[in-house]
Amino acid sequence: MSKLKKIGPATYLLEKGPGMNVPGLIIATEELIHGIDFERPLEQVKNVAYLNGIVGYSIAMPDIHWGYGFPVGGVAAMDPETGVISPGGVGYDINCGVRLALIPETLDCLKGTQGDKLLKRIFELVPSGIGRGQKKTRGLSDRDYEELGRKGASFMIERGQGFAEDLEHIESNGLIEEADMSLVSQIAKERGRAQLGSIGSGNHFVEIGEIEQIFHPDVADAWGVKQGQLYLLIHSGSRGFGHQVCQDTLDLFMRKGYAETLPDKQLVAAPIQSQDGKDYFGAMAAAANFAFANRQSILHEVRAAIHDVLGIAPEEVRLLYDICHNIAKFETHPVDGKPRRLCVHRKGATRAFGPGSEELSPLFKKTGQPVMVPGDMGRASHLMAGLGNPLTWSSSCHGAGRARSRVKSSRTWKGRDVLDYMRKEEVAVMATSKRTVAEEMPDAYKDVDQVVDAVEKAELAAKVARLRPRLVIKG
Amino acid sequence: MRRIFFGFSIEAPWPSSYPEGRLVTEEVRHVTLAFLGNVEFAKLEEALESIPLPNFPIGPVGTSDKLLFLPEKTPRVVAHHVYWLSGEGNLSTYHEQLLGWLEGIGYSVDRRPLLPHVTVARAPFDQDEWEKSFAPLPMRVSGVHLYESLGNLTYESIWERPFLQPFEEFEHTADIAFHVRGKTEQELYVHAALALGFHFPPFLTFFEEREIQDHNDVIYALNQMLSRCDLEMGCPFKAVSYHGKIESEENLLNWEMVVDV
Repeated sequence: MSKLKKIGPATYLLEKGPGMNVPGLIIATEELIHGIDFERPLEQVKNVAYLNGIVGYSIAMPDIHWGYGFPVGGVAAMDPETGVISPGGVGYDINCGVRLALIPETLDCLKGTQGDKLLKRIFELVPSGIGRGQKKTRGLSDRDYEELGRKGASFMIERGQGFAEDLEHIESNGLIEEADMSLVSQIAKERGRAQLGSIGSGNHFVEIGEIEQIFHPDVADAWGVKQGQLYLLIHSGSRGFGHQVCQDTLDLFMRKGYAETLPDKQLVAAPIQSQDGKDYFGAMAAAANFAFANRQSILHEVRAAIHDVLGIAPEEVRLLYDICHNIAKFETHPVDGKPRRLCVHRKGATRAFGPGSEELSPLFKKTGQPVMVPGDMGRASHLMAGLGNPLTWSSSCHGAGRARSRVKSSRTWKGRDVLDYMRKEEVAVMATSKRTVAEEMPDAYKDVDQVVDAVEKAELAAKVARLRPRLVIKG
Repeated sequence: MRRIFFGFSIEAPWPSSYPEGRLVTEEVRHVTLAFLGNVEFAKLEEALESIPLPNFPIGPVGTSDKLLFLPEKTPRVVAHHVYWLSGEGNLSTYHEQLLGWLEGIGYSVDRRPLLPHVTVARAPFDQDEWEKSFAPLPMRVSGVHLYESLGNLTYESIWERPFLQPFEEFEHTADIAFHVRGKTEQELYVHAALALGFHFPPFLTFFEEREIQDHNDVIYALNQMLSRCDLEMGCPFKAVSYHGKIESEENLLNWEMVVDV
């Protein structure tokens, strides 16, 4: 096993080896390090450190697991003048992210058949599963696309899907500037046209549950989060649109030879200042804005379902926050005591700006931004408040992280009624594919409580509330 | 006397349900190479020491492109016709060698050209129902066998030489991954497509025979398939990553293919 040196609570240094431009920094407890095969993801942490212009550390979050190129749960900041931008450091599902809304009701309103009715209604309104999309968005014209790229989440709000107030509760107000739809291929647009407003498959979901425990009453009060209240959690990204943008760029970068000196071709990266680098950023931003619009559309449909079944007005289902966890963004962070603009790659990692951060809205500037940490569909998810730790470029983990492969999870649950099992655990699940449910069973994931404990010990974010799932839609 | 034949064992992601018919169990589905009829097994067993063995290490792969109802006039058998995507030349050569060897040791064999098919059911069946239920399936030859027919659609393998598998799935924490083998990059492309087809058979309807020069071509071609599949019907695979080098070992290329799902 690679040698790790403990340098702080839940914080380890992976010393700089040959070829590495910076050392690695691992946020984890000993329990987490020994809980999974850590060697392969650590190898990927080392590989990321080869990238030109990387500043500080190649960073791994406590939910780190083996990806391709970057580890899942990896963070790397690049100098904008000398550094590179890596599509693999963003991931295929550009701006995959999570949004949390609060429902002004308690679990009582789901008693009897109401929970199942709500689940069924959401399942009807929000397409899930492989390739399924919203019929109403199939008619997006090229002009609509251009507008969507420029407006992000507000594109949907202007079409009656949400409220202006929602925007203050979305990372970067639901818009990455400098998006350029003209840099996106026609096939990406075609894939997106059919998939806007849908959650997709794999680990994406819509979940309703109960705020089970409050850890930080002051912050919870400020955010309007109450024990026993229902919440809504949505996990989705830019669907085929973002995947195609990533793939098109990887193909181009490979053809241009940008991977030649790298230990893993999936890390292929172009200089940020090159035309190729700038073009990728423009296309990536367009895909990120597509993802913001996608989650906005999903929230709209779930609000409609909640209204249909529980009679709660859509505006009463209040968006708390929406965060990206596959993204590259230009942000200013302190380096050697001075503010410096950096291109921060977060691949399976979340921004966790702390109190006082200029980019946050007044509410979150007081408390730090909400950081949602989905766990698994059986045990729990967490809501945290960012602490703005400069060591990780104000980043935190994005979930529990997988502990068991999809193959192994599928095999473990083969022949068993997974939906019945989950119902006995008091979680009702609806899914297009039972295989997906088997792959996503709770024991396929690390214990999210351990993961957030590591995050808190390392002072990346503070625990605010523990969320307990009750109704889950999977792809 | 035992009722004996040589065949290639066939693996496929067989469907879990079929129209009416007496089914051949999945484990013994095969392509018959040479039917010997009732023979004295001891004599054949002795001769097996000199049987020609395939000179290709990896089993041929293909797809079932249509159903056959055999014989044509009064069908008693439902079979998947196999369209070979790799190794067809090897297979024909081996078939010839095997027949030649059998004749050399005194057996009479059927010299008609091989019609590659895998019997899945016998009469009674409703041909229209089977036609309606047909969907193309990826197939791979897992070994050459000597089978004994025990009657009532029961077959037993009494001798076998397994092939190297063209792909093997291995565990990847977040996504799916395969060890893909081939003699050339061209074969890697075909075998990788088959690997994905075993997970999601409709994926192979987007397969195109195309010229592959290098590893990047393999990945590019697979991703093109994947994009078309996602656009037209939705695809469980999101991208074939550039992670994983091709390594060469004993004249075979090995590639660790990681696929985002």
